[in-house]
Amino acid sequence: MYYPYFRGRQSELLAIRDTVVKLAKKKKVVPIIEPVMIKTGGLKACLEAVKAQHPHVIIINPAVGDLVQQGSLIEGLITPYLAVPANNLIPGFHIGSSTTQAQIIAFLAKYGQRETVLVFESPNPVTVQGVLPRISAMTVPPTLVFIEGKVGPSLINLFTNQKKVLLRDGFVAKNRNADYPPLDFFSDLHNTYTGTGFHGFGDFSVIGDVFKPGGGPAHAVAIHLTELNANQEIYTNHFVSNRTTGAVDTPGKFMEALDKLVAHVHSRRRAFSFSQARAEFEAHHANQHFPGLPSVKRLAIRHHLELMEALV
Amino acid sequence: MVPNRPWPCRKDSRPTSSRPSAEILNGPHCGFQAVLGRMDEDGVDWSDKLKEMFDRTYLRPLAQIFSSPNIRAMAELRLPVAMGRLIEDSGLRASIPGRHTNSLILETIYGLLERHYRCEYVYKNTIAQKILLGRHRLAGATMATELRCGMSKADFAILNGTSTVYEIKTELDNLDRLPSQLDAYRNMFDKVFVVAHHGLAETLLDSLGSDVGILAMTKQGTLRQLRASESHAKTVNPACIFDSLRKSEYMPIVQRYFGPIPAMPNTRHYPYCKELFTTLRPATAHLEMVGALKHRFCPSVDKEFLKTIPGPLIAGLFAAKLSENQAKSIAKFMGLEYALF
Repeated sequence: MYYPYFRGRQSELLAIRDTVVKLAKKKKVVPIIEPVMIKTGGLKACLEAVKAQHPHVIIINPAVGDLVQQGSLIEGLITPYLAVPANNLIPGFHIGSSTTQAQIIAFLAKYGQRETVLVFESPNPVTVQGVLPRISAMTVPPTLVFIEGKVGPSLINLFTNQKKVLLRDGFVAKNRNADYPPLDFFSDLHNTYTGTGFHGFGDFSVIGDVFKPGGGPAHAVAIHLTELNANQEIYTNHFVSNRTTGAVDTPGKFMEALDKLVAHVHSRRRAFSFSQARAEFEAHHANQHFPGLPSVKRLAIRHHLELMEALV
Repeated sequence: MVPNRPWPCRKDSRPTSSRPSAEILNGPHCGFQAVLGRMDEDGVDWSDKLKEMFDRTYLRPLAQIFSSPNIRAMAELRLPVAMGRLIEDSGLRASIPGRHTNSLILETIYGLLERHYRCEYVYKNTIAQKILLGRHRLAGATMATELRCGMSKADFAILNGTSTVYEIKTELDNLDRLPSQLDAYRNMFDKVFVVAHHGLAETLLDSLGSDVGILAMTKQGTLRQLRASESHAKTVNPACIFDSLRKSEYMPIVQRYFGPIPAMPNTRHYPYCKELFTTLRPATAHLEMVGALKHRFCPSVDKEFLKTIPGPLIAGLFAAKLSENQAKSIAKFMGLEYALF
């Protein structure tokens, strides 16, 4: 099972919606969405699109973004969907360094009768030890998601009877688009997770585990396209515009990056044949059309979802 | 007694060197009153180092109250927490006991900056007040900030019938980038001025090209023109101007001069329009830019309203691009009583 983790901004939510039909076939991809925008229209539309199609997780206590401390708002939003079991909406709870035992127990008391997800990101070990008996005693055991590098193996190994998921941030983010190398190792976790006792694995798509609100004008345009190599490892291609300075002519810079992308996928036709997002990139290239930077990001995320869907 | 917290500023703005000495913070004359009292007294042997530490500790972070995020916060009728804390911790609040409006607190801070820490904001605001509200009629003039200009960014320009850019060099700035900045400005603006403190301004008279105007900030905090700027409107570079404009600005201009833009992929618009735009005469390109930027930076309030805003806020109000409602709201906030949290 694959659990991609999304800080639910518009591009992410739209990419999930774009992929619904594909994900509904095998139902082996479970997007985890941490809502971050105060304008919840995009989230509502996403919930509406994915309901009853495939399982998905909504974090009710986001740790970043506009909706920190706004749990009741999110719960109000998902309650009608939770009422219909066939909707496959799974409530999720984020356990960070300041999350208390009482908060976790309150979450489990409220939602513990159904399937739930707990996400561990730098939790206080004492808190985890404290809730361990409670979690172990659940009749419907929650799925436990651990963010690699932020939870140690000894803590993960405390849990023996639950489904465990490991998230690895494979995206090597740079501060400036101009700084991306042509190729980066992304991850090979999909080959190894079952051997290490995990039921599922995940990543932070081609965004990375860093939440940055907003952005400035792009001096360089970069398109991040993941790819499976001959050794079954995932790499990220970074197609960067030739011009990397000045905040002018973003459409032209996009076309420079897209030229590189199209040349690459033409040279590896079969490796990219599954991807609908790749086809859209090619269509933009044929039409010399710039769809806007958010749409470029949306396509890159969608491509990665499609790639992983084909792998699991 | 002034509360004793070593670094009231945000952690990430904490200066890396020279922590304030115990004398400032814990001594019998701790904090603000003592330090400024001594600074204002003539004949006191005031240590430069101590003053520098005080500036960094309190005045530099206090100047941030005029930054755009803080102005926008005040337009929501709240004093940013970090600012409130600083006003308390620096001892500023204790130096003016009693009940005061927010306006008075802001004017007190600005007064301190004017006397002891002339940062860029003081320069900007002096220009905004004296040139924008004095000589120009606001109906026809507007203030633009953060304008892209070649590889530089023009901090501050006034647009009326023509364009005037002001490059500010305070006592606190260095001059390394000045020549390349001025080269970029000549390509885009009609009048180019350097605004500098009086000592520096005199030396710039000789070192800068005579086409560049020079304004001196006097000890009294007034502006004195040492040299007028020549006009560059006929020698600007249309390509540089084009790159400072937005698509929504250059498309109508190109249409007006060269007819409808034929159907083409949107990635072709930029090179197509730029090629045509650069055939315009420099003076024409400049005039079109003035029109476009005036529209982009159109002030949301009129001059009469601005007169009701405390003087120190004028430049901040423009830079934060407040809407009319926000401007009215900040005017209201200024009249409210200062209260922490």
